[in-house]
Amino acid sequence: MTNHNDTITAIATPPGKGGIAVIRISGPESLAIIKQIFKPSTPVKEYRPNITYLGKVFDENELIDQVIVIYYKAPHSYTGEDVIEISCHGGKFLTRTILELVLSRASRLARKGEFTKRAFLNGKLDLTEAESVVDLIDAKTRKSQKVAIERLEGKLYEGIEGIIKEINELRTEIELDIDFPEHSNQKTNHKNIVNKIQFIKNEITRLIATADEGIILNEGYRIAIAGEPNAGKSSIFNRLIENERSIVTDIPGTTRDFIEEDISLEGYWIKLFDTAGLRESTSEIEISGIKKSYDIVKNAHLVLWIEDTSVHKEIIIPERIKNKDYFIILNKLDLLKSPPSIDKNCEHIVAVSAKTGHNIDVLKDMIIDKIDLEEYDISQGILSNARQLSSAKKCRRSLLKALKSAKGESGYEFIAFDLREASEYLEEIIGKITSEDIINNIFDRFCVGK
Amino acid sequence: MKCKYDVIVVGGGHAGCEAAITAAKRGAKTLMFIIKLETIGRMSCNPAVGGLAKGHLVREIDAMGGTIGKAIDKAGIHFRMLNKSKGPAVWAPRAQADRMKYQLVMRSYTEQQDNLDIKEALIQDILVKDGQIQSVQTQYGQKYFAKKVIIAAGTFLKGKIHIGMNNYAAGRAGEFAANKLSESLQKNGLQLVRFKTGTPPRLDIRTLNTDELIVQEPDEPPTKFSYYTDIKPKNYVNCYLTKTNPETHKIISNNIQRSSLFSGNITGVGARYCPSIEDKIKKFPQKDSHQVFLEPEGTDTYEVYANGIPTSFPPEIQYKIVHSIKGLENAKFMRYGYAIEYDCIKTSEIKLSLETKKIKGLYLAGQINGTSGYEEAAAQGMVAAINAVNSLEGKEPVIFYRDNSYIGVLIDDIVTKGVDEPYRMFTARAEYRLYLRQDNADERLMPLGYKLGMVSDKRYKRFKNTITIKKRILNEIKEKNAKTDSDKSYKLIDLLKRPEIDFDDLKKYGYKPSEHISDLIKNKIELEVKYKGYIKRQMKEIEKFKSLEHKKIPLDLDFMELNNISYEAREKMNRISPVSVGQASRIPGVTYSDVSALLIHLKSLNE
Repeated sequence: MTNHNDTITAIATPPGKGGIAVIRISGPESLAIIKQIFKPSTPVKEYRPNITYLGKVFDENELIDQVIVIYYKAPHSYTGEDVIEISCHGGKFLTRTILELVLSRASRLARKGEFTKRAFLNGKLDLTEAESVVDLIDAKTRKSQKVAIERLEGKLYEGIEGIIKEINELRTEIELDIDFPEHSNQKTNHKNIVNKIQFIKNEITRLIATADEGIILNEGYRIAIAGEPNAGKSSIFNRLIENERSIVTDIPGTTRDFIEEDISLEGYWIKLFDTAGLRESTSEIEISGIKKSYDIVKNAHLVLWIEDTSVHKEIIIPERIKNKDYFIILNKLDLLKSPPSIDKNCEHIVAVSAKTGHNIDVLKDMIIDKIDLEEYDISQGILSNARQLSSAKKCRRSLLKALKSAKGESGYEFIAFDLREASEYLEEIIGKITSEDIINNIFDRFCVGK
Repeated sequence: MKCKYDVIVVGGGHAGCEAAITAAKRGAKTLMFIIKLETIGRMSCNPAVGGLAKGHLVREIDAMGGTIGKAIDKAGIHFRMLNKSKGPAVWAPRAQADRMKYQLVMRSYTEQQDNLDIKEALIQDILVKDGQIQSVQTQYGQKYFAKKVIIAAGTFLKGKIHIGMNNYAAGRAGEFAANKLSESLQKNGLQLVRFKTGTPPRLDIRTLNTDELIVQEPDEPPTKFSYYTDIKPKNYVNCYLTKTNPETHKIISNNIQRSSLFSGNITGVGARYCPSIEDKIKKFPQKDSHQVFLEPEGTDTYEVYANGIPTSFPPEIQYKIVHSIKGLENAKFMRYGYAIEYDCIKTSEIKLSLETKKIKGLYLAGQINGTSGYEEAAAQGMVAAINAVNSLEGKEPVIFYRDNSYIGVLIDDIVTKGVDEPYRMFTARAEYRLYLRQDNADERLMPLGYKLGMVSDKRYKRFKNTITIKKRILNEIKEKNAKTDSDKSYKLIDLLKRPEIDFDDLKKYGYKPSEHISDLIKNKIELEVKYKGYIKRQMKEIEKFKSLEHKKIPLDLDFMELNNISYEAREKMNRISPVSVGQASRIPGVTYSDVSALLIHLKSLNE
């Protein structure tokens, strides 16, 4: 393919202040390029694949950095083409300098997802695997990584293949009865078909239930910090993010009326939002801020409602928050002489002091417990993106139609039709059915680098 | 004397007759060769036409203007609609034929056809020059020239019959095989494979104890196959049913080495759906009984066909097997069952038009393409002839697609997916089964048949008229309110949607049709209304299918150069030469990634 014969390059590690950054080059010119810019410490006649070479990168005669180079020979590389990986010292400036140096030779900047696309096209990855790689690139915490890796290992594939097999067994039975009426299997009747569809439907329902978890792991657990002005929301926010590994996001910094920070809590990726204070207001600017706060609350998995416990008043929680999962945080414990009386049975209230840090650990544990409560057995494979969830839901809808047909004692060919449809939706997830649309969607989601 | 024709058809069986009549009807000067004139349209196997999916094929061929439907309507002696207990998409007409009468009817159709000459001769050679067919040569050395040659040789190519340890060369019991033609095809570069099939013993109906048999009565009145004809089919006979038992199975197991199949004499591949009785016992030992259908061979004979027990045991074992079966204890044999091996062509040699890829002007149809069944053969004969004539006229071939006919499913399957065993049509092969029904074959195909000059003006007028009335009645029931006890007002069409209400029931709800409505139209309306939801979904699928089918692959594309596609897939695509992405995606061994890579490549070509 002519448009895939060129050589592409990109920074393969996520942007940020990592210790080491990797620049990947893929394509026929990879080796030629590295020979032009890299001088190994001990002279090399011919680069051997899969060996690390220590040396220095020069631009003309100017030393740029000391780096490690690895050469992967086609087709035994990630993309299936000749690949060079340069590990250099991290840092935005240095990394970009080397990238530009590579680009000044016979290569161009890889488009979004292009390495993975090439791997996919060269038969290195199947569709589920390709998607997993995207998730792995995005995987910001350990738990997410585990899911992505397990999917790479085909857990989801196996699970779905199992369900497809069950559907196909039922279809086979029905087809036998249609095409060979004289040899009809006496055991095939509407009642048995109904039972079998019920069973399959339950399996799909179980799979669909895993999607919440998968999407949380994949896209982050969203916590909104809300409350009236001066309740201490920002202090709580800062307390929660301190000492936690802050994750740099590559979302361009648009102006927002809220502050967002990504943290990793016990391996969970959490997106923490600090919102504008909620109160009755007539100020136009404030009203707009309040509206945005409610938008964030709406999309959050959990809301932390902050109250200033030093002010004696009744706790009134807005209706729009009551509909959500929420914790009540009684802040400014340090201002009280004696701790407020909290019903021990009430699991979602905690008194803290953002100022002293008192009980912040307790709050963190509560958050982790909350997420853990929703944990499923991820070793069975889980659905972890919207495309997979949508296909699984469509499959369930087709199964429901099949169930209706079977219960209504419709002709077998109609049940067979619904079942085939159900099977095809599942095949979409594990990548057996061709559809250009799906492919385009997936490639649009790929980010540069692995 | 130089004998020149437009189209020569080699073989006068179900594919050959349909091919010859189609070509002649479309105006080509046509010559049909047959080894023995009396065998035109002979049914080699069971005396029946139709059945599941095969009945659909017959209806489609008939709607195109073919002959098989009319022939069976005239020669049928026992008509039944199968699968009545299931939904209408899989109802299937089937008829027992009077074997002799069927031949006579078919012979008369061929002889009466203008533009068609028939000649008794054995074709031994095809002559090819610069990759273009030139002529065929008979056993007497005469050459007949034509730009287009259709070979429909059935089981005659190196046919070899096996009974027990005995075997002899034959195209069918007691008939010459065509040994040299097979060699000629091979010599011209066509790859061959070897298949086998079999037939059961034929018994004397007078020696059956019919009191011990289950009677199968035909449907009254019979439903016919042909559309818009005045043929009135009639039922003449009953069929009978019995079954094998553990004693039968013991006889077979104890003697298994004496069957040609297990003695190592047969190398050809048989079909899994049509196993010999010895195969059935060997492969399904847990089953203690298999059905045997006793089908009369005609109204002027006592011969009866024991469908369900094809076998290649020696005669003495065949006796023992049959006599162990209830009701057949004293049965006298009129013919023995046998197995037959024959050559067919690897289907990667042919295109969707049924022309061979290597030899221009040479078309293959029927069992030579690895299929089994009269209906499958007839469909191919018709398609080969349509395309031979189109090519003579310099027109593009007519391709039948999976979304408009079983004929399309059949041809796409054999060409694209290949044939590893004798191929038979099933409804399960048709993805768009809910739409490809036997009741609407006229609506799907008659306009095409008419356009190609195969459907007469008279029949086409009757078809158009039916469709007009159907539309009018549909509008009527869409608009008119039903008279019910309910306070809510219903349209008549809403009532008809209910499963328990049929068209005639509408009278009870105050419907007075403005004109006479035939059963055919009632049936069409009922199905259309009741299954609208499903049909709509099916149509959506068809749209999806078409989008890939319309993505054409350039004829000069070298698949082997597409390095991003797995070697296995490249090699397979290269062999099949798919014409569209849709077709490529159906080649076994071509994966999702391969198709994506192909799509991206085609896109890059366009850019």
